[in-house]
Amino acid sequence: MTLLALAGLAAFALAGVPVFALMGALALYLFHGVGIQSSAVIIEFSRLASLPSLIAVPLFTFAGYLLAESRAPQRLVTLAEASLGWLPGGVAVACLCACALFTAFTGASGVTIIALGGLIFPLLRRQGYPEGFCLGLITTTGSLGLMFPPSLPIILYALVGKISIDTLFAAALVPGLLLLAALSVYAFIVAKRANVKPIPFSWEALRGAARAAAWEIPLPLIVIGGIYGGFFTASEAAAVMAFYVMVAEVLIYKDVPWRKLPEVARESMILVGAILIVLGCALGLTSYMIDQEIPGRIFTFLHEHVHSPWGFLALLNVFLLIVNMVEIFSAIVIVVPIIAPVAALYGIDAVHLGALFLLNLEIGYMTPPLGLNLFLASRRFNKPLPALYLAVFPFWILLVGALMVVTYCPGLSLWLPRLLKLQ
Amino acid sequence: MRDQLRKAEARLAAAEGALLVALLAVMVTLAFTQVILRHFGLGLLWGETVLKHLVLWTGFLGAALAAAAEKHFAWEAAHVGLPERLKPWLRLTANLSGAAITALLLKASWIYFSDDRASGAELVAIGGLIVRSWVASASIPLGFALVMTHMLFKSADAAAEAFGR
Repeated sequence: MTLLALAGLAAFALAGVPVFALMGALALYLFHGVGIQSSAVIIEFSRLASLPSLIAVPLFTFAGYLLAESRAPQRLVTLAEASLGWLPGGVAVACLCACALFTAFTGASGVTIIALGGLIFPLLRRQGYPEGFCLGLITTTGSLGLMFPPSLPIILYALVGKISIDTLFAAALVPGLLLLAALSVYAFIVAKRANVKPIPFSWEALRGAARAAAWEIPLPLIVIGGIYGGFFTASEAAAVMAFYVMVAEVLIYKDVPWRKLPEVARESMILVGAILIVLGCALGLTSYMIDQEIPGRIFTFLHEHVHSPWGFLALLNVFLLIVNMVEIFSAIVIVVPIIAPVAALYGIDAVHLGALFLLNLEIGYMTPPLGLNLFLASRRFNKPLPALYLAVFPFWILLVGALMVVTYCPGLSLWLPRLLKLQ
Repeated sequence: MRDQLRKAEARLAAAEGALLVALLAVMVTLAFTQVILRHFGLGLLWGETVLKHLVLWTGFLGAALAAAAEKHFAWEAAHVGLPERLKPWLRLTANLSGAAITALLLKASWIYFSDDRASGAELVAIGGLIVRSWVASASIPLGFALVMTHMLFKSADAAAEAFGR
């Protein structure tokens, strides 16, 4: 009977039934099977309101949508180009940094490729970078900032995985910087091979770019510095950022007119609503699974075949790369409650697991054949998907290499939280 | 007929959108005020609780609009490469099945809401005003009802598309 129900759900999933409905149906069916009233699913739903820092989700998302709607992307690219373009491979590195920062602040919802792609692609091509490299770089960097605070997937993982948001921000930072460094080295090599000339440094250009972005430059300092300087909690930082971005983009830069503000608010809350309803249904399902000791049973089954934590992590990475390629926000809320207790039984640190899960998410975004970034880049640059599969391949290899390093060197993700005494 | 349905749904979505924007404005203002007050050693005692429940209200209104825009997370990647003529049928199946499941969730949330209302539990006191817990939990059945309504509108639209009307 359960197999039949699961097959029915799989058919619904293929038909495109929303994930929240699939999870809600499964939770209702499972609770009914053990004779528990259907309102048990909703009790878990109502517990959403008791999640610490839940308020950070709508506030960071709203601020991110406002930034994406403004001309901040242009100012950011100009500033990055003026400050790093004089280095060998500098323009590509500038683009990497601009994309990482932009993605971190706009919630990693795929908006980077749409907002920055059109600026960066011609810029890199003008410099003489090969087309395949430019496409691969933009497709990859569309999710590069996912590892940097205040990215929405980190907040969501922390909420679902019951880890402090500040700790996970710190844990993801070093692996994120490692990725940035690896991609920068690759950009340097490609620039050398393609004989790309750096842009001559100009104080005037840097001053002009800094002046233009004067109200946006303090943003990372306010948010990240505020959290780690002990001035704000993560949710307070979200409130400050939402307010600050609104003042900067609406009142000072006037990039977003007042009449456009309700539309931006509505669009951002559509994403928040879609996330929260999946999260609520997932909480219902999780409570059933914990009640029935399902993670323990998975552990017992797995442990018969895979004894070491390292073997488990290798298996986990393959599983996550496949799952995360399909849909990242749902992947967090569905997969984390199941794998986190299993990983804990293998003795894997919850914060380390969080960092490598997020890195997997990032790679999943650009993993062929279904990664979201590939579809976005294909639409944005009017290129067929196979061309993008080829273009991202060297980047994918680099990122998977970095994933191996992060997986098997827990110190990389745990060093900063310990240094900051967050763990 | 299809145009009338679309207009009716657009009116509902506009009302939800207006309420959503108003709640978000309250949320941003209240959250920022709390940060400022905290730095002066002050704070609104009820602020935190109200903010958390406002997230639920805005979340459900956002979910309703996501249903209106057919932007709920779904495994649409499975549809890549399918013939165009199949798409209205898949859209109809997705929305109709989604609406049926949401109706079950609505029923479950109505039971929860009724129990909460019967308990008469207090959520928070704002000055002399006592806010009952059911005011917050009302967002759940109302949210599911709105999501279901939009999915039914979309089902009707998809059916008209599938049958070429």
